[in-house]
Amino acid sequence: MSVNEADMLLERIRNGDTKAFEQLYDRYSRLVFGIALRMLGDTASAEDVLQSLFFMLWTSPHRYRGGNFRAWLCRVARNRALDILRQRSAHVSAELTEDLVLDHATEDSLNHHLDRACVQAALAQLPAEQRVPIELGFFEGIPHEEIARRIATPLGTVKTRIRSGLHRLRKFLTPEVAP
Amino acid sequence: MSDHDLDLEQTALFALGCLNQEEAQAARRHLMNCTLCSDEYALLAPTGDALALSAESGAQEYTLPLRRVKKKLLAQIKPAKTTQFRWYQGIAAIACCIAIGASFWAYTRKSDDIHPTSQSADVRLSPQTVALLLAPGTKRYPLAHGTVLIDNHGLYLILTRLPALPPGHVFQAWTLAKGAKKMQPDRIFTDSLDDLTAIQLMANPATTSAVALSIEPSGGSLQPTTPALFVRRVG
Ligand SMILES: [Zn+2]
Repeated sequence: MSVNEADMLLERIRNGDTKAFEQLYDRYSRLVFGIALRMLGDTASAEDVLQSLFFMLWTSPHRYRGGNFRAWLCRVARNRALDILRQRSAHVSAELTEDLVLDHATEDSLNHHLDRACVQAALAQLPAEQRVPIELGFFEGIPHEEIARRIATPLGTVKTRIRSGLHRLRKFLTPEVAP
Repeated sequence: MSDHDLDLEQTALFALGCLNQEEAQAARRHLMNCTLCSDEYALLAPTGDALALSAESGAQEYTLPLRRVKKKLLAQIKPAKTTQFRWYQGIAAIACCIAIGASFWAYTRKSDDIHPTSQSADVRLSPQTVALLLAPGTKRYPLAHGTVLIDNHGLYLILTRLPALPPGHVFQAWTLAKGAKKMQPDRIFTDSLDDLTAIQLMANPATTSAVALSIEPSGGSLQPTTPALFVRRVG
């Protein structure tokens, strides 16, 4: 589904079109559910995130204010899962901003052509010393000090590895872009 | 390593979303004043976003939970739209009731228009529709500041003098089905202060035994997370 198609479906949802809502759900529910399941580890909590997020899309579609809809949806799903993780543990990092209109980074065309398989392939190419802290930070919402403690590595080293890992990941995802 | 390398590393952690609240705020402030770091953020934030795609669930075993949630969502959203359509067919009836509605309006209302900034603008009732709801046969269940109304087609919440909402919060209505023990989430809206708010709820009026209202984080909740502003038995 192109970005414009998602925008058109949202416009129809604003007008109360339940068919458009179903189409949007069919297209993106696996992504939202997958993020929540990966972060929370149980299907019941992942279903709660999925239901509350899509209910919000129906009642408050204007909360998406433009930009890359899929990137926005991923951030909202991650933030909702972080809310639940926060109730389970004090060690949870800050939310990602959901306002893509103000966040020019997400206007980047990088994500439009990507899918699960190519991101998984890119991640698999990262050395474990970079991949592990990146995945702990992103999917478990663990702040960098806690990551350093868990993998028994100095904090400065963890920060350097996360930054260089993200640059390398970007290079794998967009081969034409210099790291 | 220069001081700026440290800032760039902090920017990468911010793009990944693994700073604590205070550090994230500091990073955000720094980005507004530093071109070097905002360029770094522009490079790395989409990479962080892309990570989420790796979690998309392609597994067949998740088809069932996805269907289950879809069914629940459609049950939540469909009844309201059907009944809403019926009101607009009742224009002739509305015209007959405008006089009654006008007096209700003069009594309760401080300004002339329903607040345009509502998150649920599509379910706001026009003054004419409120007039229709005041027709004989509509059941009224008074609240301290408003009333719950039920007619053959729907369940309506008419509210005045709502408290001011804290930032990042919404009002959320809840309904209890007859025989049920758990409140179900219903409409979300943001009006406050002295404006009159009139909303059609999604629940089926024939099977609803109570209506409640609470303040919830933006986007609403699946279960109330704050004490109810009111709980009203109906039906
Ligand atoms: Zn800087």
